[in-house]
Amino acid sequence: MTGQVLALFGAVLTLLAAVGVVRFPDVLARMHALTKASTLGVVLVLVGAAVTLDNPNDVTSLLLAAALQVLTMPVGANLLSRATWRAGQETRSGLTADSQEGVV
Amino acid sequence: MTAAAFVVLALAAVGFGYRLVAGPSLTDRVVGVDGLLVVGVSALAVQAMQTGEGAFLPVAVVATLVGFVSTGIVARFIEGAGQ
Repeated sequence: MTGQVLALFGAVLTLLAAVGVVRFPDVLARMHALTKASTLGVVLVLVGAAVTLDNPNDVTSLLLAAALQVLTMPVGANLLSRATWRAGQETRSGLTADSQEGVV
Repeated sequence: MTAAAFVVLALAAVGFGYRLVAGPSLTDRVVGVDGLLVVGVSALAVQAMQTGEGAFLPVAVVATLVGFVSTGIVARFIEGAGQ
């Protein structure tokens, strides 16, 4: 029961990330919505399943997947946002100051 | 309750699929694919919880790793295309 509540909460967080990805006005804002909300969402779903299941193989797979999500989602988002910032000019149109000038 | 989780994940997949199809830039499409991958991993976990059998759970680990590597590769591609 606890695991199912955790999984439902994680699914709702993923849905909130999807709403942000659809509605936010900027590329970097959309990436921020996806990475922040859905990292916690998928970890909650995986931990909920790990609480529910009792086979050690399944629990190990779920916890490994959760740890890899936590480790790789911020790194991938950092790579992608830095590449987008370097390549495109359109993401800077709504900004008044560029604090990353000469840094990124 | 797992059925409700499936419905919520399907709604999230619709949103990510809209961004994948309609995204104006390549980064938007990568964001859409990443979101669909997150939804797929979550759906695998919810399915294992529903049936009580985790035969597909190593697929979640592999999908996470493949998603990270593909995001890095597309990031390198975007960076090279802007110069």
